[in-house]
Amino acid sequence: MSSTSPSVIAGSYKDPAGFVFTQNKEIYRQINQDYSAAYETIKSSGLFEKLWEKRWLVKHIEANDVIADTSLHYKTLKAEKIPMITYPYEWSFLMFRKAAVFTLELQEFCLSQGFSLKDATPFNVQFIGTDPVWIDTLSFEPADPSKPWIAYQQFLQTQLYPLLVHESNPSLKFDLLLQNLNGIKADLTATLLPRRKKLSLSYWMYVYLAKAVNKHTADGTTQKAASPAFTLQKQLNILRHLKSYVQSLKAPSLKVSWKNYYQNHIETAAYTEEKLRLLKEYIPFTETHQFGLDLGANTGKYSDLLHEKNYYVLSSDFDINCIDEYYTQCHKNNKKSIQPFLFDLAHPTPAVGFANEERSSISERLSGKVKITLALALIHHLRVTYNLPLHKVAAYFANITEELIIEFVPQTDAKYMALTAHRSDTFPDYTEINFEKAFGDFFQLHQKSVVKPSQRVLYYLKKK
Amino acid sequence: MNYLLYIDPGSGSLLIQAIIAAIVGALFYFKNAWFYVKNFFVKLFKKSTSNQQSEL
Repeated sequence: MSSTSPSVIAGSYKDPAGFVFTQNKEIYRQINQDYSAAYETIKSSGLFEKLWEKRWLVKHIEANDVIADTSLHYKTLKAEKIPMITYPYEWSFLMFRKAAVFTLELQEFCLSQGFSLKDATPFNVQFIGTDPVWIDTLSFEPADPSKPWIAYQQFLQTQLYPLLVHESNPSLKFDLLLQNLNGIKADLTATLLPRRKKLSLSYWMYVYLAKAVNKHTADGTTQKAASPAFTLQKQLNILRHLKSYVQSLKAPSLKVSWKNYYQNHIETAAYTEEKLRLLKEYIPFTETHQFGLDLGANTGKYSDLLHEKNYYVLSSDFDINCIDEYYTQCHKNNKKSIQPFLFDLAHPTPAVGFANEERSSISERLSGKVKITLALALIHHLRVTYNLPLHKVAAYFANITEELIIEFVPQTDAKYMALTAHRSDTFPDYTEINFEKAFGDFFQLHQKSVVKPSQRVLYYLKKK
Repeated sequence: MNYLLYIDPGSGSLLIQAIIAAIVGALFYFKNAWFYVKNFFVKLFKKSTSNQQSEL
């Protein structure tokens, strides 16, 4: 088999210990000579195996014949693949909090084994289904209990502060991390929190103190303080206290939410039943656990259906509360192969970081990945609310998915009329014929039915 | 000028962690102490109820 040349993953080149690259669709991690001693110590300690047993660390095997950069090369690891990479700004509050608690627990466990994390960014956490896993194998180093945690400040800036800011400003979501991958500074956090949140000792310790010391150091009035002697117990105390602080943060509830959609709205029992019956008939069972994407998953009713048909479900919505609720539900019911994440079709996550390459866009990550996509009762929002031409929408879907089940909501539908009630513009192009024409350029019609008793039409399309 | 760019990212946090460790250490100490005091009375109470029961 001919091999392709290695391609370095841009998000990983900052670490002198090594970097990640792909070759022949496999993921490898090169360990540089810099990290050789630490790697051997960790390897012989059995830490990797212990973390694998807990499913806390992504698995790897040594594959030393694959080399990306000979000048620095010490060893190469072939890493287990993560089904779907999502970034912290695509997580709901509870997912983010889960990742933060997980990071602290991981550090606590590492300390008990004589090691410590040198990074604590949430970008090192990925979700497999609903469970967080640490993906950076080179984050560990032998612990020095006489020194405080090196990644403490990184943890605050990239995990604690975003949570605090989100808790009080839910409409910001975690978008501040998009603007700065290195996290939020203490002073910005302080300005974004209401006065009542500033009355706690925890706030004083983790935000106010950091802000004050930063300012003091920035003024140039202090010399670098000699590191005070530290102990393992002190580190553990801080970790435990931080953990209880993080766990005490509550998911905020936004006023505008879609989560009551099914309970409060149109959908008659007959319509819902018929739609479910048709979908059960359309969606093929997958033996190989292919990717099923649900757009606008809401309460996850149809994501559950994909799950029943054995798909690895990418369950997305633009409403962070829906994701929170569905994530909690999946976690509780042990639905391990459903991965909820935030995805706003009209404002998809862009590529960010140096050269726009460090963290890729959601479109790039989904491109060519998905076997089947559900876009139910969505197209009228894209056409009317977001003014997107049907042809553009069809082209975008064709880039993501092989098969598409899409529901057309006609102009006569109560929901469509509600959308346009206060608008002067009409959408003469928004007809069933034009819809079929636009999607017909990219997809072939496989099945089509009217969802009785409504006039909505369900299409099962396959890419040309 | 933004001096922050020239500061070692950990330099402030080392000092802070020492302060926080002291506060948190004290918190846990008092929490523990409270736990013992509470436990003492809980036990006392239980003892007296069990004594009462044995008397019945």
